[in-house]
Amino acid sequence: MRTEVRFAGDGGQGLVLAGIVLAEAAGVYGGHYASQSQFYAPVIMGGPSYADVVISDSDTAFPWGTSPNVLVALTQRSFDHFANRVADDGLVLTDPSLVPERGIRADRVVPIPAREIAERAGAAKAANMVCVAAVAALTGVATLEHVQKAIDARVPGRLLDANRAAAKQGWDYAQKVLCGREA
Amino acid sequence: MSNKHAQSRRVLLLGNEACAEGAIAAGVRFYAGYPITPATEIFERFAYRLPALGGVCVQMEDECGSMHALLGAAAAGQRVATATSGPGFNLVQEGIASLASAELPAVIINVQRIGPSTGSIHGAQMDVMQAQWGFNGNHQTIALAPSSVSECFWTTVRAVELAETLRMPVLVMSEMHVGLMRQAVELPDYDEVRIEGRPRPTCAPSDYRTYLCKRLEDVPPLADIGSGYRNVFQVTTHGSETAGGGGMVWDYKEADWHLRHLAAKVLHRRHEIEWVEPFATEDAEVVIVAYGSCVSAALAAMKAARQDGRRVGVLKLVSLWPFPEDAVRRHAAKAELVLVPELNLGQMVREVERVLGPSGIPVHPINRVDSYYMWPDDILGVLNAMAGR
Amino acid sequence: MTSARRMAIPMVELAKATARLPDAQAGETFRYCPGCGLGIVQSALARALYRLEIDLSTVVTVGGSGCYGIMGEYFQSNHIHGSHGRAPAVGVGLKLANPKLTVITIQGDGDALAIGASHFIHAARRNVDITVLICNNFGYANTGGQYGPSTPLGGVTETSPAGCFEYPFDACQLAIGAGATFVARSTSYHAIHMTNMLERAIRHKGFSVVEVLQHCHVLYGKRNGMPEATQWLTLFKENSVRAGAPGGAEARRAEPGKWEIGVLHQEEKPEFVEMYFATAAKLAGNR
Repeated sequence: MRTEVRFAGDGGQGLVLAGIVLAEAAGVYGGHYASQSQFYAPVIMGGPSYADVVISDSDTAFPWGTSPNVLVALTQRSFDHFANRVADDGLVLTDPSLVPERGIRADRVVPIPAREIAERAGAAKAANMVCVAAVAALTGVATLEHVQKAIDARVPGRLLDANRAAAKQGWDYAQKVLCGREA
Repeated sequence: MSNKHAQSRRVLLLGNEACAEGAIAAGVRFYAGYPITPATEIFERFAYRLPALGGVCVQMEDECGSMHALLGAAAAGQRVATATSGPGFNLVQEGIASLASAELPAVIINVQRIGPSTGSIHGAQMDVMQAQWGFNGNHQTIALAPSSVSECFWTTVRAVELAETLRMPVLVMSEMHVGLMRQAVELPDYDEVRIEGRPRPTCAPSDYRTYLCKRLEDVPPLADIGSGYRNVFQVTTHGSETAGGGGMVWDYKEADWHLRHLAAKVLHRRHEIEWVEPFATEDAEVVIVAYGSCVSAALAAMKAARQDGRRVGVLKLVSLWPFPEDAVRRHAAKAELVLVPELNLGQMVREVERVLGPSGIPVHPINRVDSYYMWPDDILGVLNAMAGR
Repeated sequence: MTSARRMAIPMVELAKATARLPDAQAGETFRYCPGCGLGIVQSALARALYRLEIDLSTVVTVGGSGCYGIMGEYFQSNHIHGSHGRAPAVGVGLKLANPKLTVITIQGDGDALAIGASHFIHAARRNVDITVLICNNFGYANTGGQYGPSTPLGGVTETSPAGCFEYPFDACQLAIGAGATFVARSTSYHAIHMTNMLERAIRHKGFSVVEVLQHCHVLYGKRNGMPEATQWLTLFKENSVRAGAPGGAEARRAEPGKWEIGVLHQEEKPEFVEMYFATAAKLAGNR
């Protein structure tokens, strides 16, 4: 089973960090095959950007993105650009406050107020971690414990608590609202 | 963005970081470099790691300077490495030539990007012919191409060993797609990574000559400058017994020895250097010969085709130079068609054609030069088209 | 150093200690043209090494492409005959890999000031503890006499048949500007002076440069009305002004066609390799 996740948006939204945390949670702590890559542009903030994560049981899985099983779109532009490339049974996870027009693949769109959840957790910038945890909860590629362990390893100290809290609340939101399970 | 949990041996590592770690595991303690995308993470990793290991990581004025700093450090006994990409790979050619001619070991990692010239920073396999023919004169290079993060580590380890044991520059031909990909990998205990070093002289210093050996294919023992043995390293043609002042008398026999020796010491060991991995080639009607990032697409295409009941196999080439021609011949022997996917407009395919030409097996190139990696569909599309003919 | 060692240097001892002389019986000769200034430079370097009493197995000379390129092979020390212009970069690698080595690059004017200019100035900027000997013969000789970055304005060469129309570099000023901490000039007439300069340069801790104005009567001389080596020696003798010499040296040095010889610049400054390892230790300690 190969699961492909794409975090798409603008530079500065922490998309690559989101990819790294998910890949580390699933690959290092979960023991799965995990591969992470990114659209690479020179180091300028604010341009279009995306990061891909591939998680699989097979050691020879194709490591780069082809058509995502889950797209996390954090800007309107990235939603418009990538929503059509999502696999037939895939999901488009998006924050309605960032992506007002969600007509493409409307049947596959899963709204999540990531920014609002992150703000409540202590830092609006941690919306990326809300999404990481939600993706993990929706797909089962990583546990919350492993996501938080990866956050511990990869996020600078002063933002650690907010990011951990954001992940926890993102996980709970996905479990409760999106999967209809009690956390 | 490095992982703070250093105790874990299963780590999420960039291909570029894995190249640096492989070199460090193999004892490289000297790095000279010049920043260039997409190879800079290798430099940064060395800059972070080597000081704590008592090693040296230094930024030079350009790639040419890096290469010649490596030459000096290698002559003084260090295991040395540098990394670069496209435009920088042009500039290191002079230094690779110097090391090859002077017979000094070094590892050069080229994280390939699109060219010619500045081109773009995106992925490509466009320098694989340059790896063999990029610098002047007759020579045989050794080049290894990693297809995954784990292979970035192990090809670099092997490159250090080949460089040291054969006293020559060895190339790791990585790519942006591989170098800037992170994968979860198991790292070995570095104390367990044991490689052979350079051959050492057993003679008295007075009997030592920098290039003294009996047969053309021998690797002359190498003493470090400063160890009491007198060395005269020459980028000029030289004979085996040259002892300095060798340039005093011109000797055409020495030139002949020098050129034949540089080729023979590699080609004599071509089967030890050969590094390939076959996947289901035994019964394959179609064999995909792939290297680097194209290996993943080849394997995915093979899997899909096998599910359709089609006999497709893959021959992964890790060593590109000397070209593993016996392996290609062996694994393609029963094939009716050979496919060669590459992120260029047909470079290594020429070698495959050269090797398989006499057997009459058709060789078909699949090329992408739009900065993307090869997709499984690119290969499946050709397979389907071929099946339908 | 014993004064005897400084005063008189028996040629046989010198040859044994520092130089591998050509084997005449095997038909070997020096590969310099008859009367070439490089022979004088070579003997000055041999004398300097002899005086310094260093273990020659820890000395490395690094040469490049040019008439001077083979000079290092004549010494008992180690030699790297490297590529054109890259010697200072090789020196940086050697010193970082083994700080105990004494590194002397033997370079030409085209080698150090044109193709290898960037390695030269960056090694100077770093103040790496190597000695750069520049044999300045005002152009490219090994390739048959072309103009270069040190050819005087108007100098006739194979590639400037109507006279050189480019301003030359002053190698010493370039070195000083780039951060070299010992800079001296001598000429092929001043054999003893040159020996002293080389000895002081090698002894200096930091990046040292000795520029030697060295005649090439065979190529540059022949095309510029000075085909005899002795004409050049006379020129060097009569037009060299001792740096810091009393009696109007300032005024004389400003005259066209005059040049200063001697130590032009000297300062003490932390050296590159020491700074590298001090910084590295700090970094290692912080982990």
